[in-house]
Amino acid sequence: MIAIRAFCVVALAFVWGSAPNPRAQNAPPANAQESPAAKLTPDDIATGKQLYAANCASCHGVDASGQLGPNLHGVVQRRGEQGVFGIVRNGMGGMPPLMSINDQRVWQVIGYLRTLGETVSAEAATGDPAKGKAVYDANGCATCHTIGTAGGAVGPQLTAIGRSRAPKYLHDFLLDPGKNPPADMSLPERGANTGYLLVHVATKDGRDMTGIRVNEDTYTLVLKDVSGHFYTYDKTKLKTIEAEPGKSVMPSYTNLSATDLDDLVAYLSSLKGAQ
Amino acid sequence: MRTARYFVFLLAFCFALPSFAQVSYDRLRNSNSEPSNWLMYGGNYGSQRFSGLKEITPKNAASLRVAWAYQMRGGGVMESSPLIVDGIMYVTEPPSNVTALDARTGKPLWHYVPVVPRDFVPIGLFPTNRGVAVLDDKVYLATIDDHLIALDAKSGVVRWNSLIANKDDGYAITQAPLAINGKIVVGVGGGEAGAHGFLSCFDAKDGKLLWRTYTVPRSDSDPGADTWANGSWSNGGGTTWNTGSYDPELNLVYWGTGNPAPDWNGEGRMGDNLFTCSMVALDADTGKMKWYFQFTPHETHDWDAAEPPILFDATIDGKPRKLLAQANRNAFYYVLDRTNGQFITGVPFAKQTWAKGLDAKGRPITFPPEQIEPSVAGTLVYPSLTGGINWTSPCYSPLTGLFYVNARDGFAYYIKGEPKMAPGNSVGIIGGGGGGGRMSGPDETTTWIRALVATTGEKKWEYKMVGDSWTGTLVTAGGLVFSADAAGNFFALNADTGEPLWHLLLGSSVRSNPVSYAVDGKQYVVDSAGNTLFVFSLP
Repeated sequence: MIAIRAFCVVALAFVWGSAPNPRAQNAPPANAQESPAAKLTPDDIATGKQLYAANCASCHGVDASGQLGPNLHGVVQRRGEQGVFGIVRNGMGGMPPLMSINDQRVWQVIGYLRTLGETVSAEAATGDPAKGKAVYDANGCATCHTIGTAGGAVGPQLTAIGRSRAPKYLHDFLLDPGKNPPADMSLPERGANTGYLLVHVATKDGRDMTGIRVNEDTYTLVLKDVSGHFYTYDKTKLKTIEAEPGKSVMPSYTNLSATDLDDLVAYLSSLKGAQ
Repeated sequence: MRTARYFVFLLAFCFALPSFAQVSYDRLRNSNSEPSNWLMYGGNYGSQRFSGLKEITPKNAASLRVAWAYQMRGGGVMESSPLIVDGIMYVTEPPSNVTALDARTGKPLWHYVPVVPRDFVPIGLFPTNRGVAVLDDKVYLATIDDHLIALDAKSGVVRWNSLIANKDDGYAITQAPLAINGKIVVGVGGGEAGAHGFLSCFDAKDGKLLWRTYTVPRSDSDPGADTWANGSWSNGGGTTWNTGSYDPELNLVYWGTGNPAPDWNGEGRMGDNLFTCSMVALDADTGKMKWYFQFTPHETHDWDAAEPPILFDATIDGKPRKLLAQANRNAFYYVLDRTNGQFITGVPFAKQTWAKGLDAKGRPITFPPEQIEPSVAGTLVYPSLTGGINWTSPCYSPLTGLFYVNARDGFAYYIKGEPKMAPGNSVGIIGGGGGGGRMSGPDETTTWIRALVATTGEKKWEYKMVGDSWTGTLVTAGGLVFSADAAGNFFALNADTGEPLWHLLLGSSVRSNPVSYAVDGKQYVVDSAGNTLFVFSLP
């Protein structure tokens, strides 16, 4: 059994990244082919903003810059109006289908999202992305994270993190990674569990381990260590199970200068991945 | 020679295929006497979901294994509670399809797909279906676009098709109808779409409408109109979206009603808003309301009272009583006298922070509005929007006297919106009504199987699950309670103690009510996970 607490000094950057999802290919319903979003009035856009606040903000953030769900700034431009309509209606990853509003209202939301563009309230990063890459390399982030095809696989891949997370989120997360952990939506049937939750277990036969929770139900608990090994426990054979919310195997980057931190955020924000 | 061969063929035919028997009203009324079958949504007219089968017990439950499985033809999640009639299983698939299966083997016998407009998107609910009703030689289906359809039980051929409501007015139906003496009773959904709730009763033979009773006023002179300030009854609500119960002796139909509209913002509809979030008892012949009991007056958190009412008889204070129990979405467990609606007792069965308790008449004593009412910033209240329980069914065992419920301890930040209701117009809603809320996540929500003393609500035992389970419960004469956790572990508990005896991970979420039946003397237990129906038995 590997006690991974000893490995916590490794520079791990656990930042939620949205993996490409095949369900992004959701086709819009037949009645949505004409893209009604093109005909929306300013009143419709205002209504769309209200609808967004009531139906979407709790996951995507009040300013749509991402919270449990990804940053939506630019989502309409990237995926197209029909594509967003399909996601709203059919769901995607951990997002359930939204059935509480009718088609016209969905288009009003899409109209509002379209006005957000790429940045707006999700303020642009101020640092130098090129310098930020040097900070990324120097701090060993690639030990656990993959960008493109290179890097480790303990943390989420960061290939397109700039699309799903706003600079402020990245900045705050780097300073306190345990405070606002990303939701784990990799298993939609469980809903949005706390992602990368540290759990310490002690078995009845005297062993113990701390690991990242990968899966948990009423009967079993699956942990992962920093080497990527999985450990499945029968809960009836565990003496204690202690979740450690607020903690992360990723250390805080308070040791970075403000300039280095801004540069690192700018680099991460520049990672838009492949379409 | 040819005659003899024909006779042999006929004989073989009779033995090879399941038999399609008539399901008379008497059989429905006495469904407890034939535990091999599951003849209606709630198992019996009292919606007890109690199986009299005893083959599977706490001693052998660990040997349960999958006997067969059936995968739906389409996508989606199966929420159907199947019926089993003399070896034939009738199960529904989203949005409103019916499949008949050989209950021994799972082999499909016929499949019915109604014509539903492809562009129809119901408001405030998922397009699914939770079951059918059977009576005589027909299977009765309520479709997502508000048709009541009678199918020939042998073939799935349509015998009649009646319109219940207009989908363009916000109505949609996911429930199983209830078959009684020559009649089919069915409710409607659409409480977030400005729909006015009502309950309808159709002639089982020809689909003719016999009566219709609205659950919210439709004019200032209607009963209850004075509980909606400034004519706000016009907003609608009070839908009847889950299957109710029936007492043949009293000839009363019991049905729970949903939220007033708009939800999450009650400022424009001051008053108690009758008969929303209530239990209504209607005369089965006329639809006339005999009594009502409102659980949550002036409701603003989407705590529909749609949960199936369980009817049972018990002695209280030395007197035999006809009782109705409901585990309400507002997190209180209620016991009423089902002859007159009199409140007997009510206690929380799940965590709640909105009421200090209930008064002598069962009316909630609420905390101050600023503590519990939805707000622009969000007000944290237990239970969550989805409630202490939602649409899934609890169960009751006359052997243990316990009421078994899948209870949810979760919260929501309730957000107040700016409702712009347009009566009867599904286009005119904002955010599903007046607002909404962020609900507690799986790590913040705990679900339990709780066994309550049915007459008092006192907790006898509880079984903790991880995550936000959406599965009903089944209790058997063999002494088992079946349900599932959020991950899809279908399990058996000892009905007396809650001790876990067996579980199997089905690989997807379980969003349905388990049932049990027997064929050729062998007991089966059924539940679905994801798009697959699983049937379990002993080896």
